[in-house]
Amino acid sequence: MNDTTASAPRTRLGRSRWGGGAAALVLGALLIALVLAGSMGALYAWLGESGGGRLRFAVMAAVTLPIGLALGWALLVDRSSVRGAAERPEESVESAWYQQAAEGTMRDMLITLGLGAAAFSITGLQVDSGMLLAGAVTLMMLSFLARYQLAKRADA
Amino acid sequence: MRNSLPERRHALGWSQQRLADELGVSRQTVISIEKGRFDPSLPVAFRLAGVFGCTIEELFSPE
Repeated sequence: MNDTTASAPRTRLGRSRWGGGAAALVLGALLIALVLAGSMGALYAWLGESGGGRLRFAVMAAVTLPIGLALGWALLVDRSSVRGAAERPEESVESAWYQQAAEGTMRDMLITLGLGAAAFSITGLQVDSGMLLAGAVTLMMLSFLARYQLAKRADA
Repeated sequence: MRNSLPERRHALGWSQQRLADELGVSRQTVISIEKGRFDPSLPVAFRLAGVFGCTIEELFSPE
């Protein structure tokens, strides 16, 4: 067995890559999450119409906090200290599934956006750009998820 | 690719997870390689040969 796996027990949460145990990792991730949620909340409150600023801040901060926690954990965690984590994930079969899914999603998005652009320009249809981009991102995520699961199932 | 991984692993009395830990890859990767559905990268193939004390040619052969 190699040094990493032999020397330190792996845990579900893992340890911080800059030293300290799981508590330091959680604290660091929480700090990042609070800064991110606070910034996003403040930005959303500032950009909105007058009145209801506190509510907008609270809603945006609450929505962003879990994302910030996940992001903070991903940034701070020592990957080799997480239970079940592969030391060389880029050489694992999951990496091949990821690549297959990414390539498929790229093709899906090219076709969808190309056809969509043609349809919009022919019909002259006007839509909200924010909604359009949100739809494109959602489609991209769904396509990737479906293709990854298909690649995984084909190998199972 | 055909391979003799399962037999060699069983001879050592190792689980798939143990072999995955030795190689630094996921257990699913070991499963896929053993079933011949995923060809390992050259570094993984060399590590496999090192683990089993044989050559890559002894481990893998074209179908």
